[in-house]
Amino acid sequence: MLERVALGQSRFNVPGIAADPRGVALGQLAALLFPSIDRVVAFFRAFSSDNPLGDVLAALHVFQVETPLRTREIIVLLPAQGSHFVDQGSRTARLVGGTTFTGSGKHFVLYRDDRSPLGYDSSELERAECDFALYGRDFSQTYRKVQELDFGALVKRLAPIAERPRPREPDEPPEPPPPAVWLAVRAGLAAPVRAYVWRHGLHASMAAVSRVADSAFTEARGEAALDLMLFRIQGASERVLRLFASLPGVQVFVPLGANFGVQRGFRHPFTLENCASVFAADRLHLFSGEEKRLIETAALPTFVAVEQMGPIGLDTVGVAGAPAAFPVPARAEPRRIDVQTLGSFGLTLRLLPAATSGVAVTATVVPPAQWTWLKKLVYALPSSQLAAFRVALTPEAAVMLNPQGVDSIPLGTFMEAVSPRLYLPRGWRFFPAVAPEVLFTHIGGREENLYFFLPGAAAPFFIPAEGFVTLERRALAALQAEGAELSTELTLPGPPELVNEDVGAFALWRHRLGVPPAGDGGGTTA
Amino acid sequence: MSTALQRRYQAFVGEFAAPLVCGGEMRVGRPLGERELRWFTSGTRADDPAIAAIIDARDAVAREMLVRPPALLPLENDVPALQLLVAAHNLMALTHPSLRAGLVARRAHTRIAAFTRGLLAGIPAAATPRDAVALHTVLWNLPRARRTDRTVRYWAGTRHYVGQAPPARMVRWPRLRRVQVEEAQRTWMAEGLQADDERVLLRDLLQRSPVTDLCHVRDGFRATPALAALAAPGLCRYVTDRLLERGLAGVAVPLCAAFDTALGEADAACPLPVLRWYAAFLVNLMITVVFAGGPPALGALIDPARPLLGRVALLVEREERPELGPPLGVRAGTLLADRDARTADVGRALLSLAQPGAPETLLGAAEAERLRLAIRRRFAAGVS
Repeated sequence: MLERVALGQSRFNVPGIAADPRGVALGQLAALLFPSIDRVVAFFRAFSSDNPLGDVLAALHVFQVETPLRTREIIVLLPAQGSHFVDQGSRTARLVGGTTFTGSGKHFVLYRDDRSPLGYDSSELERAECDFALYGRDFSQTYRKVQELDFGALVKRLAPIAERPRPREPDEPPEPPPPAVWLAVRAGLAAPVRAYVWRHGLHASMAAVSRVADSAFTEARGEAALDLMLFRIQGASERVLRLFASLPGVQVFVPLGANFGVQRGFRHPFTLENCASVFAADRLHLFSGEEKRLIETAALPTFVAVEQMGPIGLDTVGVAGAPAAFPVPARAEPRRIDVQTLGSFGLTLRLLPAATSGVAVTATVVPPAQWTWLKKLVYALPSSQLAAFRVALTPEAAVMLNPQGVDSIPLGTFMEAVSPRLYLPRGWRFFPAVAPEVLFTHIGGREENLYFFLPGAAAPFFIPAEGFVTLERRALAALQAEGAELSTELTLPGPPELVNEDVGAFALWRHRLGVPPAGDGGGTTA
Repeated sequence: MSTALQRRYQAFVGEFAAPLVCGGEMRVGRPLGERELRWFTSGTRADDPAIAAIIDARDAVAREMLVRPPALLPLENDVPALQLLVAAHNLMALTHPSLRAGLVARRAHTRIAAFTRGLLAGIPAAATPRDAVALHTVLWNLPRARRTDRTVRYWAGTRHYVGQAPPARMVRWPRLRRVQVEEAQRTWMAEGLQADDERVLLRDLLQRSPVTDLCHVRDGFRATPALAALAAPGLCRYVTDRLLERGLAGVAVPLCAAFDTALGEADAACPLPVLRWYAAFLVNLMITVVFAGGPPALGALIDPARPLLGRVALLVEREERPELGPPLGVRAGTLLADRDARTADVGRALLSLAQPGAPETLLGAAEAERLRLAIRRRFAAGVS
């Protein structure tokens, strides 16, 4: 029934078929016939990895069809954007068990293959009532539409699959973490996560989102309310991302586009970057590998910087005895005031909890009550940490410094350096907010000292910088070495002294030696 | 029966094996036979407390040999080690004066030697460095074994006591009987063996433990296939250290003789891989000598080390195979000379050995040519 198309052929029996510039018989559409939906998924999984589908998605249709004998199959209609595009689709379809046809209306003829490089034409056309008529090499078949499958729904219904770790060369550097991630956090965990993000100075913003209800039952239980907090974090290190990923209730998503992403460690079966147009622009789509489903928000989240959400403690700010307003006389002559008579306002410097924190924790003040724990920690510290820490021991506290951070000793009051020689407790600020240099001058600071402010203390204390020595020098108790005697002899035992026993005059009388054991009877030596 | 065997086992372990491994008074009596050996290696005998001392001493020796020594089986489960100890005991029993004398001494001597030879032949050869370490830890002290011989002179004559104390009656009334006791300490391996078959047995005994054999290289030493078990660098370092302790003057001649013998032997007696290893060992020994003492020491050692140096020069001289690139001596010598000051001496020494004519200078023209031909014939593919 099929005829091979000859070079230069311009007339075809199948309507809607024409020769393209290469001479290949091509219609306006390519129909790919698959026996089942899993083949369709396999086709798009392979096809979307190399081909951006944004242009063709508008004209892409997936139909479930049935033959007059009620067997059901799937037909995918793709706009034929030239024979090169259809060639690629045809090769991919053949790989997953599909067949490619081309046509324009309801008649589709087999697309070109190795036997006929310019395609096929059919000598006879089906006249039966049908939606599609496909003409193969050995058959012609009519189909009737059962239903149309939404490609976007298909994309959203597929669950992400876990990424297999790629084998790496020994000297290959690790993959850098993504520049930005989204954290989907259960509402109950939002406050601790926000505090952690804020404390570590991460560049982050957060938003409350509500999920689109999966079903009417979900909404009936009230679960579609603000049950999810979304954090957008930029520049997070690999360690922080692993920490979040290991936290129950927190999922880390890698953005693949403006409004869709996949959970870190997973990948969607399709290459989502090439299917971006299936995602509604006014919603956020997060494919969760753990939950094996799509988290779709009701609207795009509105992010607010985390710094704006922290505690500010305004209720504790205030200057006792300050007048509410200056009484202004109705008529008054200007009066000269001697500047020298007013030294200062006499405000008391206060330490108050602050909303933001920008610098790393590089010191800790450990009180004597925690020294027992500190000693146990010192036993567990690696040598690099022992060398990195510097410590000054005072009767009131052990002050420990580490420019790389003191996270490995979670004891005492954490301090951050607001200037090279001024240390403040983590999360506290001076009020009034004078510059650290001004304060340093005000307290009569010297370059050779380090000054520490502790909350509740009447005054700061200082320690000379030369009083700090590395922790490894302060770690050990006094130990007196004993002089060893040099010896050139080995510590091995001495030589044996052979002594011949008195065996008597008839030592070998009736003494039988027998036969020595065979060679393979010895076994192994170790 | 079993009680008597158990007593013999305890006497063997406590009075012979433990002193041999750990040092101390080592008593040798009647030779041990098949019955005793079977009892020793069976699971029915009760263990002796002296085993613990042997285990500790073997571990100490193994740690002396290697930084990370292999785990050794306890002696009571280490059948080859037990067989080796029984063979050593019987070999020492052959030198017992009471067993040499008597009417049946010659026949008994032959029987004991044959049994011991068969026993040694049945011990599996060390196949791995682990085996070599295990066997050396039981025999390591044997070359240091010594014996005190006493000569008692009195008014009526002279009596010799080999490894025994003279009876009290012989030293009674010393002034009246004009008793004089002379003591002489002898090394058993060097001076205790008299018959040829005893020396052959000693050679067989040491060859079972390749590390012991090479550490105490002496006349008659041969490069056997068992040396293949010494392929671990740690063991080579240990053996080199022991040889340097003894001094190159004492070991150069037997090492060279073994090399010459191996060159002329068939592949079955000394396979080519073993010969290659042995040649590499000699080159490394010379490099270590230079490392340890530097060029002045090399100059001081030049006379006793001359045969060894000559053979090393033959091994590193220019080969007749240009496709292999520069000869080994030039390659290694250039590499070491350019590396740093510490290795520069070794590099220069190797370069001087690799110069044309160096073997002839060290060995003489005829000897150098004979050995060169033998090396080329045996090392068909060249030394690499």
